[in-house]
Amino acid sequence: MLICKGVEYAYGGTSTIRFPDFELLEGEALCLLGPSGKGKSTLLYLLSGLLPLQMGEITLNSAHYSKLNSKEMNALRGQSISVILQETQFVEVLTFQENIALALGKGSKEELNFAYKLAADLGVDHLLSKYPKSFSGGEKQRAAMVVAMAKKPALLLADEPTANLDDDNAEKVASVLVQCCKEYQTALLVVTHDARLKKHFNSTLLL
Amino acid sequence: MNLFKLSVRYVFQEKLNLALTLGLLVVSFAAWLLSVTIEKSLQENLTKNVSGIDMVVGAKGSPMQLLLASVLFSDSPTGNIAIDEYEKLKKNPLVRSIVPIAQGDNVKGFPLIGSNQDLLNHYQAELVSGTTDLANGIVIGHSVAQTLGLTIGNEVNATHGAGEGKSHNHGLKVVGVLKSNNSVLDKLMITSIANIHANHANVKGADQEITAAWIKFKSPLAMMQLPRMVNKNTNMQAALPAIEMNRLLKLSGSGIAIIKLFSVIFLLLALYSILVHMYNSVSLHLKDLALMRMYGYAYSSLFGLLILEAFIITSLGAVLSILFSKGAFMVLNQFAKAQFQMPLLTVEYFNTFDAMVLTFGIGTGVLASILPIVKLKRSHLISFLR
Repeated sequence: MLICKGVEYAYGGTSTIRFPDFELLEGEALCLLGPSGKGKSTLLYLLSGLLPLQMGEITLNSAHYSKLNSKEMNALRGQSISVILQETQFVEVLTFQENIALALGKGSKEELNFAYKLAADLGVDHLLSKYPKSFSGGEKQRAAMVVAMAKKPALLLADEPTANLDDDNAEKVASVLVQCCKEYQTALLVVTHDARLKKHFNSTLLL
Repeated sequence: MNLFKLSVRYVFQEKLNLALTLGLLVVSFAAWLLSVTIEKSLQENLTKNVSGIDMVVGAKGSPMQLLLASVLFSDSPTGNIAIDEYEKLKKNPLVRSIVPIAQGDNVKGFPLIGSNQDLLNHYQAELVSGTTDLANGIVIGHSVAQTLGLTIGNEVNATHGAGEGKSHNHGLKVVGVLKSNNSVLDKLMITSIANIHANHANVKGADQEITAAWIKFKSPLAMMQLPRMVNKNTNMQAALPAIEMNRLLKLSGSGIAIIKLFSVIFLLLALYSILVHMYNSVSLHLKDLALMRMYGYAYSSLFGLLILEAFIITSLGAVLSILFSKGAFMVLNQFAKAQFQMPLLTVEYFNTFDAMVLTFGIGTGVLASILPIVKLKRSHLISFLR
């Protein structure tokens, strides 16, 4: 379970962003809506531990971020947290298959097989041996989902996952993402300014 | 995921940059290898050819020319000396051994030397075929046999001087062929002094002369007394190979020093080039490194990736330059064989210098990764994820 309580973040001491408190259970999907510049991505990086916590508390399955050192936070992220980014999701010199292996680190054969099955379920298994630069926008988003879900994370964070997609593809991606997390009991938090996606999520938070 | 695989992909991602960096590495490492090997081989070859000779006596003139002509057989002799003088030296109590040298003729560019069994013993010569019966003909070195295609029983006519001079009437039969000795012996044709004199029977007084003599001292005291005695009291000059060798190496050393200086400049350029390559590489891959950080990779893994990349490039450069330099040595040796009838360089499969180049290459690689690592550590990786 993810708990976010009293979290604030200040960039260079100029302005402080206060984030709403929320809780997210396994398999639940939360949509964080808000216009650009309101700190959506900042919250995502705080939740993933890529930005150090300045104020408040974030807890993921009893791990308190404020009590973890950078090495422990790194290990927690490697084990339990995945992030889907807007564009930067692949190492271009590696094939899709190799990108999955890179994301898994010392991944087992079962984890790899699970990822290949997921790729087949999402209709991107034919891309496994191809390089990401040859993917279309929709294929990139689905392939990114495979990479992110490969380790069956406890928490999946997605930053504008439907950006640059047309209506049809945006609907499909959002729907598959929510279903996938429900099936594997992954807590999902999506930050977006795309209000069309609201209907797919259990709850919505406004920034 | 194997990080080695990823670093190999990075290495070959920018092929033009890689080619430029490798080109500089290969040129610099190979230039250095070439200069140190030439210097080492020259020293070894010269030392080998003069070892066991404490003093050379010959006609007055330049001591360097005496060494070049009568020990290395690469120059014209300074003149002749009387056999009487040689005989007197032979009886001198300070002399352990003495080898007479009568020269001045050649067969198609290969020097014909009049001497005795002591000369063959000096080189520890071994026969491929025939005998060492110098009185009945000539014993030929390995390069002579190979180049002129001579075998036992073939007859040759020597010409006067070092080039294509007047031909002597007396033919000499090949009685022995020697094994390769990797010394100046390979390019020599040896016969008895009597045969040399017979060739010059029409020259008045020629049978009373030889060209030079190699002397080995009986004691260190001889070093102090004999050269002075020869130079002061006889019509001969004494040259000490050890001293002349040093002079010769100093002369050739200045040329090698220039090559070395250039190779150091090249090495610095190569170091700069690999630094620039790695700096550009880390800039190019910051996004990937940020992604890996997001996947939970420790900074040590990212540093390892950069070190591996630099290591692969520099090792590749070192290995290619070793191969390149071996090829260059072989070409140079062919040239030396054609010019001097003997190889000049000792080509080994893998020697200390190669190991030094490999170590330097790896060291350069690690050094070249430091700057990119500092850049990576200072970079705000999250900004590359947006």
